[in-house]
Amino acid sequence: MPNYDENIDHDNHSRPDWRLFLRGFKAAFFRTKLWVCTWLVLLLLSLVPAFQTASFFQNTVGSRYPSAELAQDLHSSMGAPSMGLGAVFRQDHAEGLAQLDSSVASGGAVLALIAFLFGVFAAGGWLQVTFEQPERQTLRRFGFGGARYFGRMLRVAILTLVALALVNWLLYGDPWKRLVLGGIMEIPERDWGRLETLESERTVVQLGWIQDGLAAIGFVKVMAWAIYTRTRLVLRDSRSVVIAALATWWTMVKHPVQTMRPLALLLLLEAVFVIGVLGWWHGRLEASFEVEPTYWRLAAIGGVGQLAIIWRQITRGAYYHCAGRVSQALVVPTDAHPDPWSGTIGGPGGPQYPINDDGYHVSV
Amino acid sequence: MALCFSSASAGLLLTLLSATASASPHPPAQDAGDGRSSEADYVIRARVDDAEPDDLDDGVQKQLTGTMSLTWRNGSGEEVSDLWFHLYLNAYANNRSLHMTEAKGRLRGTKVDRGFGWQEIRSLKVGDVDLTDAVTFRVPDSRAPLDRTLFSVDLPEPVPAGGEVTVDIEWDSRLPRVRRRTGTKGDFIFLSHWFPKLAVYEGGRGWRAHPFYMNTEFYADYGTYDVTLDLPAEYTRKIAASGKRVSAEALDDGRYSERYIAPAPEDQEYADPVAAQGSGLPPRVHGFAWTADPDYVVFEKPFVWNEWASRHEDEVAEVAGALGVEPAALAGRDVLVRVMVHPEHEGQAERHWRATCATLFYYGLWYGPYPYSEVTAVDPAWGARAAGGMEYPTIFTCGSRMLTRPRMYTPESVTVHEAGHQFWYGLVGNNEPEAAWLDEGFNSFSDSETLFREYGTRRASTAYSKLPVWGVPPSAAPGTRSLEGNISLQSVGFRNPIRLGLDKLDVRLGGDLQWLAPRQIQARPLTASPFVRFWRDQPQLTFVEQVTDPRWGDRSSYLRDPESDPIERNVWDYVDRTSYSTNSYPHTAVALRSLQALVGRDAFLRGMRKFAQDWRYRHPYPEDFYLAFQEGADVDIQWYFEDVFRSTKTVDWSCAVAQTQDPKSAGWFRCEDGSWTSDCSPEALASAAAAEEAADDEAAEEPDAPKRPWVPDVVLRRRGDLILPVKVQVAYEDGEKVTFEWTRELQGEKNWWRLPLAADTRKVTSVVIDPERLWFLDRDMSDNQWFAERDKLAPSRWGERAAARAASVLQWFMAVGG
Repeated sequence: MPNYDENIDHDNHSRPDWRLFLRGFKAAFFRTKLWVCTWLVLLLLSLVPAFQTASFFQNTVGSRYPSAELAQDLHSSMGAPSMGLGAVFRQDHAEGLAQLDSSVASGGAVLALIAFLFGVFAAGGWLQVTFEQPERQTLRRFGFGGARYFGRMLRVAILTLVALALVNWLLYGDPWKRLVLGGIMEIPERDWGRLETLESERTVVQLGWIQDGLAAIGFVKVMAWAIYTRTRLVLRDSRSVVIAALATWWTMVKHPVQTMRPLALLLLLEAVFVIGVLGWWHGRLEASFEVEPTYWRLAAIGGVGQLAIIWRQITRGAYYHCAGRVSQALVVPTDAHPDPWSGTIGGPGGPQYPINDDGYHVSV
Repeated sequence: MALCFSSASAGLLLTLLSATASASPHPPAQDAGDGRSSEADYVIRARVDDAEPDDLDDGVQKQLTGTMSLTWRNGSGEEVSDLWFHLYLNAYANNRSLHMTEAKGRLRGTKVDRGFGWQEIRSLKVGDVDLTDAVTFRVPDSRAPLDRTLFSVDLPEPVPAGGEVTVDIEWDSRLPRVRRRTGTKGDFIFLSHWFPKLAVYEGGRGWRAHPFYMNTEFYADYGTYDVTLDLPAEYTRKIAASGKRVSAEALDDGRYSERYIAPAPEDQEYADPVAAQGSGLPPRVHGFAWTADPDYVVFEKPFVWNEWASRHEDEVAEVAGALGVEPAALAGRDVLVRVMVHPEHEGQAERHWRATCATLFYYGLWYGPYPYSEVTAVDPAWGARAAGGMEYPTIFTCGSRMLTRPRMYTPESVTVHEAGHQFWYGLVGNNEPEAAWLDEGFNSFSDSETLFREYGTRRASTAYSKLPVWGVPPSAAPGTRSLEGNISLQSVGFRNPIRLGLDKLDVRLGGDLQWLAPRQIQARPLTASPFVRFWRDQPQLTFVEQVTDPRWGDRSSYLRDPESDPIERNVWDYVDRTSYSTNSYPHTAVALRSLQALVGRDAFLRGMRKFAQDWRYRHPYPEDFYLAFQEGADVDIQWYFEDVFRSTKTVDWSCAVAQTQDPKSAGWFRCEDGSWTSDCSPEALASAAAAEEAADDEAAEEPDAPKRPWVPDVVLRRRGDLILPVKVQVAYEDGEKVTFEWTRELQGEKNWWRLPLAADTRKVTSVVIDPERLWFLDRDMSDNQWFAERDKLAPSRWGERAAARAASVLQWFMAVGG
């Protein structure tokens, strides 16, 4: 079984080439159990609103609509006054649909928090597997890493939230209004909401794109910084999140191309596959479903949607693989191991028994 | 509160003044004999300059100096001793006008605290008699004693029936920053109801002069306008107005002048074939609006009737058939369509043109062709959208934004609606304050019909940083408000510890720095910005299509509040703005669509056409519509108008279905010979008969066991007092369909009806009330039908969509977590 030292990749301090993102994706892809597991968790969470919605329709539709009709045009109104009955569904059940939405939104808030915390857990798991590279019991090592680093990853997550809140405040709060709208654009304060004093709608739209574009860049940067911070914490087995965050920030400033390139390429790959390929496929299936709604087509639509989620789960793993390799090349290593007890059995302070032996020389 | 002022209140004093009101011997051009067809002809000169000082920060406010000569021909059939005028611009003079008081100081979402405008009469003369000091402001509403939107002046001499009077007025105006319909924004000018405008005198009812309420629109005599505008030279060729430009002139002092006549001189002479069959009056207009902006891009392209008619031959044939005329007899004139558009919307000019042409064609086909030679669509400037979505004679304002696609219905829906007002309001000039639904409701009905025919259904879209994506989310995202926002980390509120610390240290921040350390922080760490939200939502995988037929869209709006008020009501008498906007617009449209169901499409077309042609260039009231429609359609349905237009009655039908099989016979049955035995049960007798029949026919196959019949129990119910005849369709498993009619008489007897269905060996597979979906008035159609086979796919479909949506969103939250 390869150990951690064998996997450490900066023996020659060579920097990863541009194809790292492909290797990262491949490495994550072959960790089948991991992404299946994380995907299943998401699937389970998403079944909550799904059942809420399905049961609402089950009760509401009842015997009041002809079979399969609502599946096609539930969200549409009528194509012609004499067309399908399902067309007026939204009008007649406006109150019920609003209540359903409200209920899904409330439940969704809790689910979002659970998903967020699961992300915190999964980060530690992926990093554990990335650096340890176990050949067996990967799921166990994933769980072990997730549990072991949960506290540190949670602190990183809190720091991430602070950073994102800061980005949002800078771009949508007073700083943007005062510096950009008031200072640069010279728009009077009372018009900061409507921007009517600008001469053209085009200026308003372009200003909005700049604002939203900067926010998107800020979000991506914070996400990348968070990934590298987590990676650094694990790589150096350090505990100070703040120091790791500052050091990571400095590393990213010093090596912007090295750090961002693999993540950006993975993002691009994700965009091409999920938005482009799967989006197109999904569109085709939706069109065929409109023509002839069947359970098989419905299953295919659902399958494509879940394929996208799976792809994105694999990409999460790939991000950590790439971040790990880049960090190994750029971050000065320490003697510490991510898991100093990984090769032994026994608690801290007590006797340690190696377990990477043949297993017969030790009695536990 | 209805406000009607009689001419009988004419001041005695003024009648003693030397009179110059002349009793004209020639008959008025507008003389329909209904006592409400006077004619008002205006000759106006107006000059616009920058006004100083002003309190605006988005351009210089402007002032207008005007003179006008008004000749009023009294067609009321009565002697009139005073004149009443509107000063509509004074609605925007301060926050104490009736308009602003009712609007609670907010116009179209903006709190109005600057850029006020006003209008002041400098001089008012009748001949040589100066009546300026006799101007009396009328303040008929105690809520706004400072309102100055209405004034009257007693004439030195009454105007006899059929006579005329000429009034010369000079006035000054400070033009308001446009917050609703009229005003300026920077160099953009849109002026409507900008001159002292004479109210309408009706024989037997007096002056129909109402103050400028928040919800009311306008009412004025038909007539002609000769208007000369004098503006700075930067506006050269960037002006558009009602009627037609007859001259343009560069003036010496850096000024520029254009003269307009409305209707165009040739239009005034046009022999309107529609009016010829009805009112018999010549083409006139009842208002004059104009616009100017150096930034305008002017787009002009003709509407050619024959091109549209050849593209829509079926529609033409259908209407011709209904009216009993040859298709060629429906032909209208070609019209120059002008679009005054701003540069960022230049690409939409052609779309405005098409929407306007579609309106001219369909409305013209149904209600009689547009009689004027030009029409202008105006795209207001950025920051002046409050001028949009309003109609004036031969000119109207649209509403649009960048980055729209045709099936989004923007700008098409507004353009069609406002262009449609050229017919309902423009050509048929109802009293809008007293019966707004006669134009708004008729136009809502007609614009939906036009939009559907020209564009099909509307596709819903979702915008990310103003970039539209087709479709809508199938279910809600995690909530962002209050507790939900805190839990999902999208909106986390807490007291600012820095500020608390500063407060403890008694450190006070200056006013300019307080924003740096607010007391309460509302952090939004996981509120996704638009582009990030796109990534989170993955709309291409999680959204659903949502299309809407505009005709059913009317019903959606109607359901908001169909019971607070009847359709027929003075605008200011509706309980609130929701009731007004519901009952004047979509409720009327739905009522008309149901009327079409009641009398049939052909009769409906005839009825509407009759009303349109009888009241072209005239001022109808609701009763006129009811009478003209019934006469044109040759029906007697006054009950429908009483119930649907004059009451708040509503209807909701429902059906309940149960079907059971006769139980298998058990026990003793009496035979013909008087014995009691199980051999004489219905099944046993039927089996014996079948066996006997089979024995007679040796070739016959073994007979099937006789089926036990199904006993259907179908009960229809009606909630609400509105009684309308409705069909009910019952379908059996072999495909046969039986239709019943639940008549008004039956419904009058009982609120329910058990369908007379006999026991049958076939099962009922469906029961549908109103199978053709004709009664748009039904408040809940979900219980109008019953199907034996339950729909199982729909719950799965929408469950899958909700799952896909949730998985995508939760995946994003997970990614942020790590």
